Amino acid sequence: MNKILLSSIVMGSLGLFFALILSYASKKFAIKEDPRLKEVINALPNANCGACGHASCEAFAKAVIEGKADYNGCKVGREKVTKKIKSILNEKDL
Amino acid sequence: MSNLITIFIAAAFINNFVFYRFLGICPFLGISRHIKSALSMGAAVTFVMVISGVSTWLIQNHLLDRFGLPFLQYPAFILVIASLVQLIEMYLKRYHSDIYKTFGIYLPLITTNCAILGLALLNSILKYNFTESFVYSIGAGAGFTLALIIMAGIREKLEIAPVPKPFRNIPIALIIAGLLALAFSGFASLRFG
Repeated sequence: MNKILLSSIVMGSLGLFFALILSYASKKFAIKEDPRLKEVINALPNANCGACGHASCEAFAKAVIEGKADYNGCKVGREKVTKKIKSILNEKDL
Repeated sequence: MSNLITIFIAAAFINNFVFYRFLGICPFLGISRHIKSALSMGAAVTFVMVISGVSTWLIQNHLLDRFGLPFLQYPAFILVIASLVQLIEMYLKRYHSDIYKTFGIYLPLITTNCAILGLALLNSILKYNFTESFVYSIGAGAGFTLALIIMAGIREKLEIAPVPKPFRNIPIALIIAGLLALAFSGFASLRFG
């Protein structure tokens, strides 16, 4: 009985110790992703057609946010998507 | 001091974890296509080895032995290793996402890399003290990295070599691993003192 109690205490405290380290690390190393990225991806048709010259819709969205691509690059989405992306970009810039 | 140097050389060359003990073969074959990724894999494994070698020594000697719980060795060691690998994964994902992508599945697989558990167990089997296990861990990591780099160097050349079709990729890699192990057995005749 004593041994079972002791081993559960030892393993439990070890687990708790590493859990605390990991939870601290996950906060410290959290990826600060631009919240606009997700919005732009959602606005795109996500057909991954490649007509804009990027590998995928995600790559295009990244390029738009980093300013490497024009916001009106999506050929499939036409004006509707372009307008959406433009509004996403503007609202967060202000 | 000379004792520590002997331990280092023994771990890195004579009892090389890959070529002598045949531990950690999975990443050895998986991440040895390019020298750059082999180097970063070696660095990741070495890091995990050193930290887990030291912390498992502390756990073994100050926790398990003191309370008479030797049977908790495996779960406790795996807990340490898994947490460390998680830590590295978070770090790489944040700061080196290109390396994170090259590693792919092999990064979480460091957890199950038997070289690291083997190192932790060997530290307690060989009854090393704290400094000795620290040096032994560095030596083991260096040996693992060395093995990966030698293999990657050969495999980079193999890409353009006319290998017969049935031997392409893994079969020829296994043959080369065997030959390298033979070559490394030459270190067995090294004598110290």
